[in-house]
Amino acid sequence: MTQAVKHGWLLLLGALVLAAAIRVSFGPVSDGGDLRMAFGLPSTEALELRGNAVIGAALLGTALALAGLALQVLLRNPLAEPFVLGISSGAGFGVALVLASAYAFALPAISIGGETGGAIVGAGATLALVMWLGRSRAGHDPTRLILAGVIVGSIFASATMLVEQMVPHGLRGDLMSWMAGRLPEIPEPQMLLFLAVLVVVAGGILFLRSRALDVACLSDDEAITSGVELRRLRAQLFVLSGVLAASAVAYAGPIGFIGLVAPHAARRLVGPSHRALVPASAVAGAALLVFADCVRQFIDVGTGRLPIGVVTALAGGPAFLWLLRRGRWTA
Amino acid sequence: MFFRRFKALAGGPAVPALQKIIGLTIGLVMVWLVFDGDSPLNRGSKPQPPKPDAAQTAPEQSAPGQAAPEQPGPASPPRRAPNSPSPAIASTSPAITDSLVALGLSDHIVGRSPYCRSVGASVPVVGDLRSFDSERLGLAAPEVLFVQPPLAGVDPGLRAFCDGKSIKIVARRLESLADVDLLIDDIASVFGVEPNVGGTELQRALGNARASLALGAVPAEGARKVLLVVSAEPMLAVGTRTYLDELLAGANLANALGRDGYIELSAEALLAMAPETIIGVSETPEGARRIEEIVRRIPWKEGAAPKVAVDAVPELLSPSLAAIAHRGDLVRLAEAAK
Repeated sequence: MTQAVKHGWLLLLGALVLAAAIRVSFGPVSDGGDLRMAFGLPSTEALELRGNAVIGAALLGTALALAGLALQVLLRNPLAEPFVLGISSGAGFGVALVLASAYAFALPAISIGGETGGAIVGAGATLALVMWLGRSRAGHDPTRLILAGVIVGSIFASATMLVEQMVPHGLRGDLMSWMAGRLPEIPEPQMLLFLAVLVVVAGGILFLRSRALDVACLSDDEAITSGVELRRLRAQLFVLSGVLAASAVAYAGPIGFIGLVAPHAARRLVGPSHRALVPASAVAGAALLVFADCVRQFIDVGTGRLPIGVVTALAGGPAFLWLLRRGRWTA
Repeated sequence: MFFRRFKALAGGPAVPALQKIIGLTIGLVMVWLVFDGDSPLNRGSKPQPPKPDAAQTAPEQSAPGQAAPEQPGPASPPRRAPNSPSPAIASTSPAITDSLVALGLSDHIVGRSPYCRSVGASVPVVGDLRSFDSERLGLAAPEVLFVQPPLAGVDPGLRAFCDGKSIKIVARRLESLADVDLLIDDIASVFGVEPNVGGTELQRALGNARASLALGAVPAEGARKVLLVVSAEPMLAVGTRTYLDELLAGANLANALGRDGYIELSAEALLAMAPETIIGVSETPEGARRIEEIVRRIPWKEGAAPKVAVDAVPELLSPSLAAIAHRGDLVRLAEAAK
């Protein structure tokens, strides 16, 4: 491990620890009938809430980062990520359809697959559609894929709005706030556990396949010559990225750009080898989302905190444009 | 055949039959869900008749056996019912529509917004808070149009259209009970009457409505403090300088949140506030249940868990005379909190 890579790891881990420390020590305190935000040692109860928020954000950031990394290798496109490829919108549409159907048929959402089921079906269908649309005779064309993702994402976003129009005000408000991206403050323990297991399994698979991932970034011929079963690898990446993105969306709504920015940041800090890049992306994703959660604690626009999706989009959008403008990328 | 030829021209791979069947099926189901008025999705979005207790003065919505016809599509816009009493009124504000219904004036309503729950589906949709459908509005032919304009004022296009059709626009922004009081004056003016407790039926209704506003009410010293929550995700609480705060005061309940407007409260913020009583009001029973679930799952300090009561009272969620008629629900919830 070179000195630069060591520094990169230190920076990543330091950022995660710092973001977590800020998040845990900063929160609301009662001030008469009003509330104000302040640094301080939290009570046991507040610590439980803030700890859950940090764990939830870290797991979510990791899932999004790994999904982004897998997609970037799968599509050989450095701009690929769940949000840009429309997967988040597709998963969102799946969730909206489940909620609206549950309302229309007066059934509990879990009886028709639940939000997670809807998100996974929506994400899988979107990914398949975008891959099909983005394919040319020469294989997957990066520009075509991004265009297909943007258009398919727009269609699903509009379809979600259509569903919103058909449900009562209360449910519409829930859907709209969910579409803006929100971190559950009191997450379901089962959902956290599911996300943790998923992240560990997906991260483990990606880590174990890191050599194949390195080779998959080369041309098909070079990859096959190196003994990598490209079809199998791509099928694994397809499933992994779809399930990771869908679970992340089901947990917190569509949160953009973490899947794009985290692998790129990690790549700059620890280099392109996937043996280091997979865990580094996971740490970068966790640090970024915990940090984004910190940022929204500091911003009070008079009506409470900003949705987390707004913070990540405001920071990640320019990062995407910077990468697009820079034009020197490697998957 | 056409599809295959198209594919051949496009040079792409042939689509397997199974994919086509699945795609076609999904498409047909979507078309059915969206366009069939009887599909489960559309059934859910149709305006519901008011509950029997929706307002103290609410009359029957339609004669028994009078089925509400489906809302025609754009090709055949609905025409105004020929027997609508004068003045014929259209309202693109759910709160104003609710208020008109609460005053027993539903027979006068010939146009509504898609969000006006308190009138039947047979009343055509002529617009909403931000836009209007000139064709439907023209065919509904109201004499008066009630709107809740945005801060920028009434849409000049709507104003020009109404001038051309001799439709009187009554613009009223409803944010506080004082605004509702002004709305009572507006309605009285449209009908050419004075709110009066002892006059005609409408005058009495207007007079009673004004009396029930309890403007400027202040909760008594030592009044029970409650935190009123109106949404679960995000947890939206009612602050001061809102009509719901005024409703609380009129019900002799003190607001536990000393901040203006509607505030998103995190679970941590709720924990820091440690309110004694939380009452939750939602549009749907599911929303109410969700508020209670989240509040109960907060790790409250030993002995500091608040008393909680929730219910679906959609009428309370917009500043109207129907909301005032449901003020008692706030008291009921505060008393039921445990």
